Amino acid sequence: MSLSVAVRATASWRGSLEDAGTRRPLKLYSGQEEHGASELSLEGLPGRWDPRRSVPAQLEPLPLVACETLEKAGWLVRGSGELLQGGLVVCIDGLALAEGITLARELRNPELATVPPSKFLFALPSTGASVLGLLVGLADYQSTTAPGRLGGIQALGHALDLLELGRIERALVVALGVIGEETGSEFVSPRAGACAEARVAAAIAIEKAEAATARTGAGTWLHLGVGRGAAPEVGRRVAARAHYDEDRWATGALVEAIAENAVGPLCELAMILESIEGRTQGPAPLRIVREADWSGFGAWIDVDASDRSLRNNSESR
Amino acid sequence: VLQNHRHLLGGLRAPLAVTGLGVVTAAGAGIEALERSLSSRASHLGPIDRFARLPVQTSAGGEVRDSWLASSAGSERALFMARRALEEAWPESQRDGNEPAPERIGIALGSSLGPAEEIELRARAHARPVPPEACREMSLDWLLAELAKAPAPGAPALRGPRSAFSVTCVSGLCALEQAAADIALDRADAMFVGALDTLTELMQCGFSSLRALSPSGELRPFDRAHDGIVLGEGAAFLRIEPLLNAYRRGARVSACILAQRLLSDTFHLTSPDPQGAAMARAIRRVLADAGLEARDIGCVTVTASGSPVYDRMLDTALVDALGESVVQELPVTTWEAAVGHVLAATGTVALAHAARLVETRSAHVVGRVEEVFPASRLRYVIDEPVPIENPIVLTLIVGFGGQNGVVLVSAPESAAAIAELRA
Repeated sequence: MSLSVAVRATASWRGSLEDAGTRRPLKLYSGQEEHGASELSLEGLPGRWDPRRSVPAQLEPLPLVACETLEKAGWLVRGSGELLQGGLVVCIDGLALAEGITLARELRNPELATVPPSKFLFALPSTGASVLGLLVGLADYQSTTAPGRLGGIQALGHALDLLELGRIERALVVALGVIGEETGSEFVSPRAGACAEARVAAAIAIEKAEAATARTGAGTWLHLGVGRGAAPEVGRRVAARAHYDEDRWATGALVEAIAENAVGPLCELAMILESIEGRTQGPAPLRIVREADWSGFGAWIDVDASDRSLRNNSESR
Repeated sequence: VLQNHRHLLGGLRAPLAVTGLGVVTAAGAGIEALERSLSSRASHLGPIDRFARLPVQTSAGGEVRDSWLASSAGSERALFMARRALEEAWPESQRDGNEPAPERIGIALGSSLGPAEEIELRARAHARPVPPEACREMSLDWLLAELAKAPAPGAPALRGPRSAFSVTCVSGLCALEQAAADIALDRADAMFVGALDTLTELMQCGFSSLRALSPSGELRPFDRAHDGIVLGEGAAFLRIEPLLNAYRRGARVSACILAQRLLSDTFHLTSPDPQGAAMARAIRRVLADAGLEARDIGCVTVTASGSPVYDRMLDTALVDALGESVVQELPVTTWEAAVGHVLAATGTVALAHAARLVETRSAHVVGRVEEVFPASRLRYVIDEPVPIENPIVLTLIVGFGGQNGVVLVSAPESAAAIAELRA
């Protein structure tokens, strides 16, 4: 059963691919706009993070995408000094396992004298939420869903449930996917002829449509729903994967690896939201689906931006 | 008819009844085993041989050494531990024809690292990289799927909603939040809420790298000699369902969960805000959610891992939220001294403990306290058990990374009165 919540949503995503010793931005579909800065500026952020300290590289590009989305939504105004109110639901897939495996190998070394704290911190999936909290706030509720292919959808569903029940006023849902040789999702870069690492992050800022106003800032009014279950009924599937531009890649393996990572569905949702942002009416309702796998469970996201009354109502407020 | 449901956990289907409890700790399987240890002031903490070779502050911990777990390792060990707790929460004697359909019973699970011992085994066995099929058994998803497929001997598979969270010591509270939402939004009629973590080299070395462990290897909550955490391992499950449903099917209700709030202090990556402002705010929020006042609370149970920082923070937050005159009278207890800080299982063990406090109406002593730490203003239960006059227990759970969880647990009759529940 899918719960549909009328929300105002703002989203963005970014990715990078590191192979042959260089990192380049990842573009998954031809409609993607060129982004501005590729590094996060820490100036003017309201949290306790010391701007002289760079954000841990392990999390890139998550903090950048999160802040970009919050600014685009009009929630984050640099220099205001006010911690952001609202909830934060995070899913980080691939990173903690890779860090955990690396650390476990190091612990076999009889000469090991000490363990750097950061090695342990990034083996914990929840460290990403702690870092984002220190940057911007969002302390009304913070949660991290378990890594795995449905983790991103679950994060969005969790946030929508809490919005619907009035437990939180608004939420930022973010996911980071790290695709590398240590996480079982490795792929061979045709350019380098070796395993490469891809990092993709997506962020969706959502607030209930009835509470949102037509303030300055981007955003799309839509009905957003998440369903989870053993056998999803797929009747209206128009997966955003159709947006991928395979010409930019010699192989679809990377696209598949991202799609099977927790960040995949949120990345697809962000692409859809970016493509309809500013339009008066969105496309026909569509569904982003992850079919049941070995676990017997699947999940899906329903996106319906065709209801013009949501925006009209907000403008009349 | 529910008159006062607005902010209770479970929404229109509140209050949520606890109709099953399952706990596995170093004290053994079953909440009774933990209670016996608490009553006798026994400690199950001690040196763990495999940690002796590691660069750690202490090799002490609270390990589950029950015979039914002895031959298992890796992901299987985590699964056995979780399944035993789930089985305790859903014994065969309580499964009858009045159970909801399997499609209406779900599971929400929390863990910091999932089957972390499997990560260690695989890392040892495989040169880079670990094969994809091996990664599956290192995931919390795998554990969740296995538990849903076979939750307990003879029990049907759980076909309702499933979710999993990884938020260190408050993982179980996030699972509770989702489970309560699944019930409130009518996706499920009953949910099993659980959390677990096993004691691994990764955890022991990780906490030691943060200088958070007790160098003495002794867990001394609230004592002047408190010098850090002693880790434990464990799993705990609660079965929750709407109180009205529980009454209708004739289930035994041990307690109700009235309200929960989980606020972050966004203060530091690893340490809490020493002023406990977010914890104090969370306490005030749950009281407001339930329409209660500070004087309505009968007892407090807290995460008491032996960390001086956390002991002081909780002391400050309770005084701030409830007032000095109230806290002077309010018994404060904990269960951690007996079995160690059980990581992600902390939240659900704490809830099981609170449910039993409500049932027994007696707050047991907190462990070995020779002299309470300086400047403390709380009434820790030190010498003798203290009767709980009003069966409403405030449960405080702190989580690594600045998480502050507060849950109000009450006797079913108190919950019915608070919700103005009338047939």
